[in-house]
Amino acid sequence: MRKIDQEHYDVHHVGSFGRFFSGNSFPVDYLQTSFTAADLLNLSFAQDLHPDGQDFELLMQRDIDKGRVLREVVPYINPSDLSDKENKERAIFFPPLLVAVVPVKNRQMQPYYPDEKLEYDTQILYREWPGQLRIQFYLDDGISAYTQKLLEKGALKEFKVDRAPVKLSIRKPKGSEEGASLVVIDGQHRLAALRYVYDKNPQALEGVCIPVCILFPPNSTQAYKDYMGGTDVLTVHSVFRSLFVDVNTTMKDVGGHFNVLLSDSSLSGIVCRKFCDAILRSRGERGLAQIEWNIKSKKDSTVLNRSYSITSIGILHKALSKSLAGASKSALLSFLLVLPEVEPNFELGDNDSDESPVVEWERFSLHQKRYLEAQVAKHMVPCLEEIFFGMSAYKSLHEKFIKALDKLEKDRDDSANQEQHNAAILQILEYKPIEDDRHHRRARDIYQAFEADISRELDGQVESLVQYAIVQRGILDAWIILLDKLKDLAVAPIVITKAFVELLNFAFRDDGSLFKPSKAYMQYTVWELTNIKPLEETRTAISNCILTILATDGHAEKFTKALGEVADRRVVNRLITLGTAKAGDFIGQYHKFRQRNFIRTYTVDFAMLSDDDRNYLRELEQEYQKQIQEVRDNLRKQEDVSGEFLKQVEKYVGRDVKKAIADFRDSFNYVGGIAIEEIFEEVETE
Amino acid sequence: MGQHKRRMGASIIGLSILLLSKDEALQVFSPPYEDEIPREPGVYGFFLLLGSRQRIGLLGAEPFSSDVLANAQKNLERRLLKAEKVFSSKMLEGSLRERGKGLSLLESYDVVMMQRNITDILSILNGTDAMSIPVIVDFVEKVSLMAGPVYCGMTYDQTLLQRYGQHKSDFYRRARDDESSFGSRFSKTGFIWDDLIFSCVPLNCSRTDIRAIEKLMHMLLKAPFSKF
Repeated sequence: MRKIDQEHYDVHHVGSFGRFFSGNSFPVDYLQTSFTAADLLNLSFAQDLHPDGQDFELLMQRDIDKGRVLREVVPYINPSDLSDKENKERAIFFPPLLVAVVPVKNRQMQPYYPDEKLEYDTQILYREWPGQLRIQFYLDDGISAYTQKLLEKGALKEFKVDRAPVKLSIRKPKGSEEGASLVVIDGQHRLAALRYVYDKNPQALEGVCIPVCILFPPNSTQAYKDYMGGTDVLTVHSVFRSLFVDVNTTMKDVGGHFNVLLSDSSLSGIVCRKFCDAILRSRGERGLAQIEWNIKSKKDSTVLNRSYSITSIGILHKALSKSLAGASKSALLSFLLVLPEVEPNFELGDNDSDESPVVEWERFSLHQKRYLEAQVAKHMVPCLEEIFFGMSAYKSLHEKFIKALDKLEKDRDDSANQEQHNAAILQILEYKPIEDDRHHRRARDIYQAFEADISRELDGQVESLVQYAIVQRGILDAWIILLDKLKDLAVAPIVITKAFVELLNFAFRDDGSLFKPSKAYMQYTVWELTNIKPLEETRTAISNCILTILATDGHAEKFTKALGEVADRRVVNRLITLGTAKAGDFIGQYHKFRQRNFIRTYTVDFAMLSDDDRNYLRELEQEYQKQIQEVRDNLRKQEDVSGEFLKQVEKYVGRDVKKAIADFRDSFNYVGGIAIEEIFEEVETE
Repeated sequence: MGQHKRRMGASIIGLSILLLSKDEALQVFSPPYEDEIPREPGVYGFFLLLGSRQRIGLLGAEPFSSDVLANAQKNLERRLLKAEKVFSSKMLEGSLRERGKGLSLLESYDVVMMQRNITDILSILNGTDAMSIPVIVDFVEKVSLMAGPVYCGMTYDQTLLQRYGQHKSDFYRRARDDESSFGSRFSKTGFIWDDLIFSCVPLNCSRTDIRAIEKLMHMLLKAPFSKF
């Protein structure tokens, strides 16, 4: 009785076979073919992949900009604003989609294909990776035949075949069974647009054949590894990751965080990528979920948008570029990246060159870049991780997020409909947006409740204070000022950073009470009533406050002790001098902002000033403005401008400055000098 | 911050300060202390920091691994070679005539001569044990002020702090063909601004006196980057 053949494969495509490699590079086999619009349903997106290792660059590249799909690609395929005549007069075309054959088991990407098996007779050769894919060739002895050397029983054997037609068969994974997924690694936006059009208007794609190139690295197998004597053989994931990153150039104009992440011309891009990569590796997707790295709107990219976020690529980029860019920061950069470790490699052995191998934030050579990437990962990223995951306030924010996530996952496990919870969890952990349709309304509610619960829990707590972008920039500013002040010491930046985090913990103790809007000195400098001022000056004010602590209560001594034996009393004095200077700067800022605020608002300040006082001040100001205009018109000299208006302003402002100084001294336990105090002693006695 | 200015206490790590008298001390400032440079006129000089543990990558406490020491040795060699170039960067130019011939002979030779140091720094360091590099670099750092200034000058209308800032600004402008300022000339040596140690003596005397003192400094100290 003839046995019925079992058909293991359910997707078949016929096309031309090819192999791509150069020299000894790892070969990639491919089949050029075409798909109908319906065939596209067999393709998956890269965001559906779960690689065998955590990899931020892959995660970053697989993000799909749905807005761009609807805004640009869909109208290209199916324009709604063209007349029938206009449509007839245009031609459109897409380059081939690049599709990877990815081995999958239990929904997880597998590192290798099953070992290749050959089956042949006099006419046909089957190459098969059992349970995943099979290729059928026609054998040919002609002069145009293509020669393949294939591994059979541990040795290479030569086969001559026709390159076309060749039939590729795939077994799609079903449930947790193994199989091969067809994953688009280039053309995700095209695929999303084609699927959208096919869903909404299938007749528009009737008869269309889309060019597709199906790729797979045939040697990513255990047998090939054995054949190579056990040396490492590239995994399927590493091959496609590399191809994916290489071929994806379409996101370069996406904007927001991607402009930073994809930039290679500044250290910002390198630092942010390495930081995210390190967090993903050390803390997994739960850690990375608290770093905002995929905001596309420029406006939102420099603030935090999620209630559970710790920081954002945009904040890091803005803060670090501001403090580290420019030639004058090259020594600091060299210290922060410990460039003496790699400097001998910078000069390419050209000892006679007078050109300095100086590295700047936005100025370095391609040759230097590979060393810089390693130094960023080795020295700078651990410092950033120490600040954003080591400082008590951020550590607590991380713990609260993990607790809330655990609860969400438990709710999911207890739920009858896990799909909705899973969609919410995927949005939190993998940035896979919940579909904007009615089927996912519950998922959106779950997500919003998750955010709202965390937001409620953090309200008024120090965690929410350190979530302000401007506070984070103040923290980073203070950190960099300290590094700059200590960059001549033979101490690693991470050692200084750890001491700095202790200083931060002290500064933000008692739920950040030093920085609360209720403090007299915080009004006008950092807060306006209960609203934080998102200005550069606010960043400096916060930084000044943090550094002031160095001039109080033996903190300079503690800090210096943490640096080890390379630091001594002179370093203590240096830090006290820095703290004292910053205290003076801060009160100077308070004075300036209070004065500015008073001049802007005195006309409506009915609580502090009587009608007569306001009228008097208004007259003085009018006269002052008139005289200033005369200076501009060259009718009066600057020194002849009456100082009466500003003197009267100082009288009112001076009282507040004195109060602010008293509160500042009391809160910080600061007993050092504040140069500006002397001015207001006079004001008070008038 | 003026009232907190430290007039006497500034120093760089490992270097001592020479105090002449309370009011007219030779003051020494490394870049971390540059804010404390006197806001008054005087004479000044820039010294080259010949080496330091930080500059050659010896961070933290000993012992250092052999890789770190080997790298530090390379860095120190490169640094001292560059320093040697700074101190031996004199160029002579002029015309030569055959000795003993009358002035009526018109033939002469235009020559440009570059200073060369016969001593080979590399061969000195090659003979040392890498374990000794921390000791050597500490010594090299300490003798930085004994090497003589690479530049000296005076201020009268500007304060010493303002003049320092001007040199620093020239350094970072790095105009390729600008040979007019010390900052721009020094930027071409491969050293960074933070490799300079500023020393000064504030002087409260007439412009003529300060000029005379500056000339004496040029004559006696022969700073390679000073233009007389």
